[in-house]
Amino acid sequence: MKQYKKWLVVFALFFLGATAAVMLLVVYVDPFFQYHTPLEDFPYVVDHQVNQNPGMAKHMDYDSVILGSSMTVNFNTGWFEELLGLKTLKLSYSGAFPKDQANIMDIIFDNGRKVDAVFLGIDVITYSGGVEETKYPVPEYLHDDMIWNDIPYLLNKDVLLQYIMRPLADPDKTDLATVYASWWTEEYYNKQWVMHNYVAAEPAEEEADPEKYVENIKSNMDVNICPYIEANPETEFYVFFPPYSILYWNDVLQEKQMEAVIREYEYIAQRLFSYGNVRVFFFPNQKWIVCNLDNYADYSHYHPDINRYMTECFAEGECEVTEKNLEEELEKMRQIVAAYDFEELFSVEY
Amino acid sequence: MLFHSYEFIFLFLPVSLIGYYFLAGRIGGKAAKLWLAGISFWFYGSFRIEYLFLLLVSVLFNYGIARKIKGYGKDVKAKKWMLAAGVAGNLGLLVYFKYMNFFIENWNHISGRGLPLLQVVLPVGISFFTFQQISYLVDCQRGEIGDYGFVDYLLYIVYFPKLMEGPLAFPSELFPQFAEVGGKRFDAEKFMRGICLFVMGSLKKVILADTFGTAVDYGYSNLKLMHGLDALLLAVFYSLQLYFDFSGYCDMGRGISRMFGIELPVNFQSPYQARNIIDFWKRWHITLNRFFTKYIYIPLGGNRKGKAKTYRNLLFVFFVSGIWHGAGWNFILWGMLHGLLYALTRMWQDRKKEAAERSLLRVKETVDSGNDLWKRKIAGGVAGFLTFCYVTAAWVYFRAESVAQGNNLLGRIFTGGFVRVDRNLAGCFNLDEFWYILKVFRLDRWEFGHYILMCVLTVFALALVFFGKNAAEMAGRIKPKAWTAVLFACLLLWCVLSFSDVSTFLYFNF
Repeated sequence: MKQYKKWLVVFALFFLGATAAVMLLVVYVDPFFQYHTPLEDFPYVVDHQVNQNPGMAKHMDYDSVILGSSMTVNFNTGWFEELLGLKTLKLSYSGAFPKDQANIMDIIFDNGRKVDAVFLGIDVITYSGGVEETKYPVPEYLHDDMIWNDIPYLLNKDVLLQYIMRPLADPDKTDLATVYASWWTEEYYNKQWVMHNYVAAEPAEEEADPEKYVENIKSNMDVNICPYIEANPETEFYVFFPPYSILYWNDVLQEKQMEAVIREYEYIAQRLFSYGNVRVFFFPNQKWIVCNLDNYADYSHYHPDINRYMTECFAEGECEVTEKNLEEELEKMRQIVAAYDFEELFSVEY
Repeated sequence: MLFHSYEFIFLFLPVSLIGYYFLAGRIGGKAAKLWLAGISFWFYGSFRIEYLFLLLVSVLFNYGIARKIKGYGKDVKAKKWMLAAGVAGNLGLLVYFKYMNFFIENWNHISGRGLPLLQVVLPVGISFFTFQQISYLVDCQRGEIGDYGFVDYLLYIVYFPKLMEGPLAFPSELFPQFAEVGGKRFDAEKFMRGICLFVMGSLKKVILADTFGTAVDYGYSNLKLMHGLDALLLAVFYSLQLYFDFSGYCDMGRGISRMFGIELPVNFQSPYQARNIIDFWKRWHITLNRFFTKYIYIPLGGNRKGKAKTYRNLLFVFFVSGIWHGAGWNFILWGMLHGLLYALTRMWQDRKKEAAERSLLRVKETVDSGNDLWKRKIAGGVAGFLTFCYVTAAWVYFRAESVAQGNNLLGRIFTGGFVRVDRNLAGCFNLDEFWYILKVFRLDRWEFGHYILMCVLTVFALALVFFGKNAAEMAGRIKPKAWTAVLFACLLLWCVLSFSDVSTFLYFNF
């Protein structure tokens, strides 16, 4: 019987010792940046927005952030330093919902952290969803400060092999300036590719009520966006509406909700005008961008050059809308869509 | 809380064991049993607290019925009526939660009406604890159960190592062991073998079943992309996934129970080594099979009322088995496929037996010549292979979302054309820990490097199920050496590190 007891002791000691060793290694390297600033000489791989953004927001050194969906992944934070003199951190969530933005802003502004600027891309389509909706399940344990619930991070094969061992064996440190950049290379940005893959939305039978989405948008603004603007009056919020291609507007026409979508832009912009620390930029009516499908890799995702142009606009104030010119800009949008020759576009086989 | 979760390994299990042995040693058996029942509630309630309420109501209801049945003494008629009421209550609960929407859907289909479906969530393990209680009531009515108190009954139903997916233990298997709680000293050997079994069950579940499961999920959700070979592999992968998943869970449950000093009945005996379908059902989900035999097949007359009725009874049992496994026509079809082959095999065996008896020749037992032995081995191997093929084909309907999807997959095996295996399907097997080994040997750059792990893991798994020993058998032979302790600690750590991305047990919904 003694030998069995000895076996149990060896088993328990070795299991607990090995477990503790793995946990200590993860805490030391901390590939999700949960406990400390990054080690100077470790080649960190950053490629997982859901798991790594919370830690980056907690422990990276920055004075401004880029928030938004995949419409923001092609920003180069070096441009923000060059044009605006800001040390910017990109915290994009592909397909993000307003709640995703609120979750990350909770961390950004935690403990009264001072942030000079927030560049927030708004995709109106996601603001008509529920206020609690998130694109992916939120790993709560990475958002809070409790250590005891971090076990899924500390004892995780992927963390150990993909984020600690792989970088050690095959170092390829992620450049945070271009982190999360989309996979499309130059040759994908052309009309032929975009049109070949485009599937138009199903046509609707009835014209949508222009007020259709306002209630949900109001809730999302009330809960997920405005409280952060109000609570941080010293932070400048650069809120921008990205320029989707004309094919996005074709979908809007097919679904008979032109006025409902325009109303979404109008409502959000008007809400934001009431804050002194918000600047609103409206890019959807930049005809030279949206009507040229060579700027796109699909119906909505544009070339990094467009991100560069938007950064220049933030610096120079171009494309900014105010209470005075909002209606005019929205009217321009209507006219671009009304005047566009969709028939000609779809008359060709791609 | 799953067995393969951090909270189970690092919190629930240690707390449960320490509390149990402390109470058993210091206070007594009853306190230890109450503790076991209490932590079982914690375990069950962790899935959804409403489930716990349902389980409690069900336990109280059945205990009340059992008391009534016992109270009727020799009044057989009253006992039978009370039993009928109890069984109806249990089946009613099961029908409401598990089958009502199936009935409504079919009724809507037949009548063309649009009755709304119920918005209920199936309580985990309901089929298991309901059957367990029916078993208790029937045994009470038959007078097979002695006078055990409420605590023992409660523990018999809610004992967490078997609560979610069985095994379906008979009262006679557990009550005597519960009676010994507190009276026995800590058994270090039993505890060690319990750990070994638990670790081996975890490996089956976390490493093997989930890897095959990833491939199966990919294949079923991209059925249109599957060619003939992909479809064939998909069917085999699911056979392996289901076996490793379910038997892995049972091994874990048995291992945990052993740590508490309580033996649970065996549920799997290398089922894919069976030579025919009758043999298969003596090895696969053994406790469910014997439950159906004792409570359905024998009461219907078993084999005592002529051949025709025997086959009818067998078919009925498999029909019930099909519907027990799931509320869908695909499950019924799966059950009937098994039932049909079972009845035909039985018919064949009966004929052979009769022919032997008619010949009046008493064949003396002779020593097999080497040649005969080989012939028998080859015949056995072929029979085993064919049985596996049939079972695998039937599993397709078990996994499919509908009969049509099952037909589609089986059809693709013959009509999908044989090209190289789908790259993404093969990619599901490229686990990081093995992939690095390939990288070291630069095999990842080889044209077929992407397929190596799929082949290796599949061949390994098939060899294990066709020729390997049971985990329980292996756990019984582990020598108490320091290196085995270190090996099992490493294996458990490997499982723990893989917990984050693992799926739930397949049998939870049955």
